[in-house]
Amino acid sequence: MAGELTRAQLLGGGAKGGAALLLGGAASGLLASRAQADPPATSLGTVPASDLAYVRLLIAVELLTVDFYTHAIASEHLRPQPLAEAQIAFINENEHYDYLAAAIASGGEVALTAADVDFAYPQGGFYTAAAVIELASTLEHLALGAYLGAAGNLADPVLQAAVAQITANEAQHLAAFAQRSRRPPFRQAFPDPLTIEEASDALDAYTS
Amino acid sequence: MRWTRTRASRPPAGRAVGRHTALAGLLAAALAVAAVSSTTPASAVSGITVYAASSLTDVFPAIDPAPRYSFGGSNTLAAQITLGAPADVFASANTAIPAELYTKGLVEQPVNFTRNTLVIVVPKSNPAGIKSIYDLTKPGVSIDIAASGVPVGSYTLQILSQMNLTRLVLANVVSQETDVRDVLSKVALGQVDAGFVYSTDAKTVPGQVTVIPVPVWAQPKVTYAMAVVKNSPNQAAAQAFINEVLGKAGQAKLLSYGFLPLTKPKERIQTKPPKKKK
Repeated sequence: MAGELTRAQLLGGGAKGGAALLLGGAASGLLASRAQADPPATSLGTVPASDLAYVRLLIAVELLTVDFYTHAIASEHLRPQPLAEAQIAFINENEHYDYLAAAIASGGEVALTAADVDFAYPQGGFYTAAAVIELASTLEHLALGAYLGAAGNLADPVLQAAVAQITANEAQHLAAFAQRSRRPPFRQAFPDPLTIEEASDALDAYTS
Repeated sequence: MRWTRTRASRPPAGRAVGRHTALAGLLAAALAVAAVSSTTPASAVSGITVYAASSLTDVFPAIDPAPRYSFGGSNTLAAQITLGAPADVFASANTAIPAELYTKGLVEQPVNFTRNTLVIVVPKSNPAGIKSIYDLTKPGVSIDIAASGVPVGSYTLQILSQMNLTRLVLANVVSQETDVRDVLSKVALGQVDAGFVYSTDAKTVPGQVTVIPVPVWAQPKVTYAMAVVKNSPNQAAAQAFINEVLGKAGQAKLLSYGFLPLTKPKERIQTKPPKKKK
């Protein structure tokens, strides 16, 4: 197996700094131009239980994508450009996780962590660059559907705004990896949302 | 005062689990065990009494058959210890109850020794057609859960709350039990459409129930803890039993019964196809 890369190693002294050390050429350019808006406040105050259920589900989705990109990067199959995109996506997913975990912590709850979950992937999912990119597309499709479902159902406006931002970012990831797997980067004017039940079932397929 | 020795030897698992069996049918098996024991060195933990959560009914005697076991709901066992029951070791399906006994000065410092997960079980015939936890909200589904004071009951409520399903699922609860094995038993017998049990319990009735996973994002953190009872006259032997459970062989036995290690093992992902044998 190729050298294993842990989330801690990738993050180093912080998500941006640690990953920058691993990026070269185009990748560090991508990272340098990554200026972004501040995410909405993470203090949720009193939000409906239905919103919190969505946040818990989305936290698990983020843990899955972080875990996937950790293995994708460590597989050493990706060429520089898709590798750089995977590294940026990895950082993005970590930032989504941190936001959602902080949001749920504001209500006094401890968020699910990577130590709590074992993920499993289809046989051969990391054997080749094509397989890794195909799996990236599949997981980003799942993430996009889950976020779209949440965006349409959340009641708290602060949370809804943050989820809308994250949804846009997941759509960017999906477009990038869909294109690399020789599929159109976008098709539908209104992509399909997943219900919480559908998203949960889809996530179950990757938990052992 | 008399103390009830629960689950000393209990179906449906049907395995010999202690020396307090009241079932005559198991006498021959018990004698056979005694005969074997007489030819092997005496266990350091002979003569002690272990009060343990029902979900440990099968694995603890497999780790060491020598102690006298009393299995039941952790809250019930803790109440008995509080009233002075003659236990030497207390093993609970959560960390909160032993911590509470420790605060009260009734047990020594508890130690965590294993983890577990919850699952939904449905009868093999699955008459309600349940495929996911969300199906438990359908009108007319009959559900059995453990009472909220029992760790597994508390974990069940936690799952429902995490998923925002409390009201809808509890509306279908027809019975609440005092321990997890009673929930399992009712489901296996087809008396209810579904129940929440530990994944390790579901494994004890293969062919009788179908397991439906609880989503990972709603799984409670199920950690077991055990402690030497302060009033135990067998402190050294009680500690020896705990050491045995924490030891390599004890931990391996727990894993073989489906329990989880305290810390998650490092993931291994294959990044190259396995080489074909020539």
